[in-house]
Amino acid sequence: MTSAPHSAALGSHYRAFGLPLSSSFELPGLRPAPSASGALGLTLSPRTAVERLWSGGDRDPVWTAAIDGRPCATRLGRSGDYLMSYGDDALFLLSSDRRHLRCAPLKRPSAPWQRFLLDTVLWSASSLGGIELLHASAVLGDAGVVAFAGFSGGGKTSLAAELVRRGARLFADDILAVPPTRSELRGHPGPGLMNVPRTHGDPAELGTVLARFDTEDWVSVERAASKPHLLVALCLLRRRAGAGPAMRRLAPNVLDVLPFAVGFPHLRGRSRQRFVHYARLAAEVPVYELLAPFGAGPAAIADIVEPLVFGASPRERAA
Amino acid sequence: MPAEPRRARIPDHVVHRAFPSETVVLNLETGKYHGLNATAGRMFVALERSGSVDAAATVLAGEFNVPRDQIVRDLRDLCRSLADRGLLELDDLRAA
Repeated sequence: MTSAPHSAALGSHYRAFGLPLSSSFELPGLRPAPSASGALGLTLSPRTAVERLWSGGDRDPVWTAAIDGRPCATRLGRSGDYLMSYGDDALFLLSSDRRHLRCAPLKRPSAPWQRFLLDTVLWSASSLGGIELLHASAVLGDAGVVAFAGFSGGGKTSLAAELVRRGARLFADDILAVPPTRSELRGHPGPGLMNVPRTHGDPAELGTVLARFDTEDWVSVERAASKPHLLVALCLLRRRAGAGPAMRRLAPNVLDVLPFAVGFPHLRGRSRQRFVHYARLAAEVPVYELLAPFGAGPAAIADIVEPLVFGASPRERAA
Repeated sequence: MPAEPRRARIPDHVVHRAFPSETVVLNLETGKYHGLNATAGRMFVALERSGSVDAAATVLAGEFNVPRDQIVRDLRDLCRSLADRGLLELDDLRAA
């Protein structure tokens, strides 16, 4: 089976989705971090080596999706390792002890598979390692992390980008890690990267455009958080014809939050942890409904949530 | 003769949490969530803590200022309903 990489080869250290990372190659958009014991080691490997090392299996994939027009799948091997495929462009093998991620890019350019690695592969490794994830963008404001949970296409990224333009730090673009803990609930930042829809503003205002995809730009954000912070608010972003934009505090229960939990359905043993974790989040973190009509742009919604992020409304800040 | 629940236990495959609006109960075996209103949620917790219908009824009669016999009847109804959903395990007392 897979063996741990030699530590001397893992010269670059980062953190993302609550995971300490040590990599043999540079990862774009991630801030350097101190080396940490127990880090997930990332190495480049030939495809043949990855295919040989995977313990294999004939079960259906535990997860499938179409990303960037490519079929993507995650397969569980007989010994508990996971093989993730990104079309014909790349394979990734996560070892059964969750200590080693072999990356086998097969095609150039590198941006598409790197984006898949720094998003889907890393949050998958985080989830498989026991960290709980929310389908949410998030920014770091004056008091802590404010998260915006919503389903795809609801405007989470555009709202976060607008708040970064107004002075917040990016905390997560699409997936927010909130590890289970006995102490206060803290968000752990994702990579300082965003997939910014081309319809909303100049991406260069946010940072460096690493690559351009069909409808969005992959941006390394200059103002990005790199350390865990207290989760101070969770906004459930909902679109409804003729509504708002408006925000109201909810008296939530766990069922309000669970629809935004990200996880693998085959891990049924995690259901208890997930219930306890999100019940605690619903009880301890202020939860708001952020209601907006379908056509409302990010600026109008950002005006509503500014008091949560900066402690003052746009008018008060201007004064 | 109908069986009367005497002792009640929340099985290991059930997890629950009380919120101001309701108590949410998850059956991990079926994956189904159940909502209990404030009164039923309080009864559920009393059953968990005391383990018996009689002891829970004594506690709840004082809290709700309701005759104990009525509380016992309501608790037994709740026990049967929750047991049907796999949310409680009952030790029945068969009426002689």
